[in-house]
Amino acid sequence: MLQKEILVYSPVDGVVKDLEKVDDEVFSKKMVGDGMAIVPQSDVVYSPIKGKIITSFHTGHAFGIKTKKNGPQLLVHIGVDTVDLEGKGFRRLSVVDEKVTKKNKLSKIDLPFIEKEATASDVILAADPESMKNYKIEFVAQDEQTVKSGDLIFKFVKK
Amino acid sequence: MEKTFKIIDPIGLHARPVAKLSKVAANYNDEVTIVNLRTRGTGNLKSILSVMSLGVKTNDEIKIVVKGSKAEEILEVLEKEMKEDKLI
Repeated sequence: MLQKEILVYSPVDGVVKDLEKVDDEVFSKKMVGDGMAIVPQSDVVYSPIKGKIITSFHTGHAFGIKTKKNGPQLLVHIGVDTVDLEGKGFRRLSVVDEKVTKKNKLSKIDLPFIEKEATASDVILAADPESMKNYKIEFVAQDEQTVKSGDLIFKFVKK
Repeated sequence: MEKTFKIIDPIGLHARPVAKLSKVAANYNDEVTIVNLRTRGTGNLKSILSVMSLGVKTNDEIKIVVKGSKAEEILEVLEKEMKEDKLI
């Protein structure tokens, strides 16, 4: 495996969804960056990538992970309009400055509650465009594919 | 050039409004920095995650600092955007 590749794994068991299909234009129009969504079927959200937590929103629904110096930064956003739940349905399991791999848990979610109360439960992975000037995404998993937590879903590759 | 704002959004600075502000800032070559005056944390406004990592909460004051030829215009557009989104 080339060292230039940074691997991104599914944070949950679920079904892959193209970002364009997410019911929120902040994500579907890739305003927060390109990436992929997973419709979750399990209730623990793991880190999709090796790196350091730079953002851990107090509500437990959003995390930012930096892969390395000048490397891609990935937003993990659990659900659509989940900010309005103000933390209900989430138990935050990681904090800022923590070093993580795909084995680390970010958040425990009450999936039935989120499915009922939020616009969608999609776990959205989006790479901050500002951090992607030297990288591009290579997709491995495809829309509507069933994945397990820890499965490789896309890669960051140096341009 | 710089300007200070008080964030009144009940959640603070979260993904949706930050995405819009970062997009505006990224349209310009000027350096646009945001400071959380409570924590003194500083971030690049063009980077969504950099801004989100400042942990700006309700009633926090932020300072936006722009270095470059379009500073006045950028601050004006950002202020308009923040008002529209009821951030300030």
